[in-house]
Amino acid sequence: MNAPATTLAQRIGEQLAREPAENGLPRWARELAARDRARFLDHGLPHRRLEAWKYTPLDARPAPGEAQSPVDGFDAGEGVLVRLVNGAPQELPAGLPEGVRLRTIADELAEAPEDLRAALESIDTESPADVMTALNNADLGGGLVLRVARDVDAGQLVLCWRDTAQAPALANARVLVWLEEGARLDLVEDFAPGRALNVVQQFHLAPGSRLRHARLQAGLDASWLVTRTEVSQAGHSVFEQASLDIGDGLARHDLGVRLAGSGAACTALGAYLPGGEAHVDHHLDVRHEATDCHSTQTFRGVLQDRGRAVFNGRVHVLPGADGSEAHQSNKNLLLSHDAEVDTKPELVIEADEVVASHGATVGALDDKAVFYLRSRGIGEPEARRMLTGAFCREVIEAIGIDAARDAFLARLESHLEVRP
Amino acid sequence: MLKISNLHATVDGKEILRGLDLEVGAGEVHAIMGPNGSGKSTLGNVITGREGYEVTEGSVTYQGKDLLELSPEERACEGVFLAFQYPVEIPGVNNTYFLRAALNAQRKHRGEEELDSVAFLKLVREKLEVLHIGDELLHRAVNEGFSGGEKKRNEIFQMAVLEPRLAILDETDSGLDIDALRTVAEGVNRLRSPDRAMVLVTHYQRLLDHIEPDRVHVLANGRIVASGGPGLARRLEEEGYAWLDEGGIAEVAEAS
Repeated sequence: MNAPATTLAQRIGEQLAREPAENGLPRWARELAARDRARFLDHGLPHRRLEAWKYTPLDARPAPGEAQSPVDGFDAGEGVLVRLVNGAPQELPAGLPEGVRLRTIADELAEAPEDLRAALESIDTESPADVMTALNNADLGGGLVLRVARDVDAGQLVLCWRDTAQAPALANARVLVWLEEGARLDLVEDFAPGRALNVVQQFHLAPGSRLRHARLQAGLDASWLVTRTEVSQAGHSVFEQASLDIGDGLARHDLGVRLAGSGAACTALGAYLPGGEAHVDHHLDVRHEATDCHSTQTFRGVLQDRGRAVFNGRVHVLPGADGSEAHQSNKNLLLSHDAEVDTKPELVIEADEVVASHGATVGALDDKAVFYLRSRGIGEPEARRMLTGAFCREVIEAIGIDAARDAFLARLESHLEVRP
Repeated sequence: MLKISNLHATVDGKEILRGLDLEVGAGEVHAIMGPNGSGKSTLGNVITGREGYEVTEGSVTYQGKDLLELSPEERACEGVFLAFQYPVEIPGVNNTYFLRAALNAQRKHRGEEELDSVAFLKLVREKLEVLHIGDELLHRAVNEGFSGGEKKRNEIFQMAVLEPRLAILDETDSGLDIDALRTVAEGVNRLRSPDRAMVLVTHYQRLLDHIEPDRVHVLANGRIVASGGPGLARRLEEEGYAWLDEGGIAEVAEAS
């Protein structure tokens, strides 16, 4: 037997040892990074014996690619654009509206505000299932912090994530957002990784604030994108997230939402279209902790070739969260015998006067509908494309950010042109 | 225009059509009547090429071509149209978008220029006005949430826009109120022309009060058992289909 090749986990370990990220960090941050570096070295990459990773065992995947991302990106229009290369923010824009503060996480750490410390320490990384967050903590220092002051509308911020050929084995980045009372932000993310990227995001929504988050993932073949988004919502805040996954690589998205104040509302929409060898895994964990909160999750999947998708939608209505309303729907079109989808809605209700619904389906295109379109002169490939597009368009058309909705619809159409 | 000879067709291995002969010339409107289960809908499905309908014997010639050799979309592009008995709901596909894609596919097939959205909308509004159909159906998904009458109106509207050479209406009149029935009749009568043929498949004579057919045929057990003029339809209305079983076929000559 040949000598075993260096595993990705080993290469990441060497990378952490070679470039200690903690230089210049406050003591608590150095301790956090050191503790979680040890945890990563101890646990390694997530494996299939972990329930949360059983369909997406990163340790068993081929090593991520080493391709350079395409340069072109989402047209920010009137918004503010920040490019992040290999996870590191490039030049930050000047002239932001008053009440909007955008800085690198390194600059924020130098001042070490208490809320930043509380946020970074808030995610429990003891379990091996949270090892990707531990890895992110171990490599602190890359990323952004955005703060929007009370009643300020920050407009649209576009984060354009790209890789170069000189990237580390796996890049880590952190995005933290604080919206004060009544503040508003539209956050659009354009991910086109060529390698491996591990992003942890933490959004804090004060009472009455609104964050709309639209995310496009068009990763290259063999790329990895691992995101974890933790949202805490105070009373009457609104969080709307929409994802479109049309990449050729692997994407794992964890979304955790705490509806912690009465009357908060959150919507998560997603369309994923893995073909080839692509793999998309959505894990949701929505917690209704306060009264009269609403949550909706609507996800649509189209699987082709050997495409693979995972949907795990957990909604937990805690005792006392009376008057909650929770609706979940996950529908999948399986267009190939070799494709596979694993869908698992999980609804736990421990409160009174709760309105809840959930449903998951896996099926093929409706032959009757295909024939109906063909009987009017539309060719079979076009008929299938129209029906497949319609299946996903429903969720993309519901995106509240106009520019993102139009751009995502255009990307969806061009994706279907290539892959009917 | 359409010549069907000795057509045998099976569905799930069960023979439904058993030697059907029918000839429809350009400019003619034919009605096919018959009891439930006689094979009326199967005929429309075979002509438009629906999967699951297997032709085991016989031929269907349309404008000199072997229709059975063509795919459903090729048949449509050659001018064959079926108004469905049960139009399909297609959530997420806008009615206008769908109809423009269909018309442009047919125009492309004929070597004509495709219509842009402005020209298409102009055409569509003309058709709606003539048929007295409101334009709210343009903004909706294809048949989604439509009432039975709205679905049938939408079929006639599609027919008016696509202007087929051969239109088959499969029980388009069933379950319609009098206003919707008039829309259907209006759509058919407006499309009548010397170079176009239509086949109305129906259970009742009602539609034929509004559309005078050139020929009426009775389908039973997968074959045309009687043919005649409009008088045949009225006789069926008065006497039902039972007399066919009682050796009444000989009387048909008098009825026509």
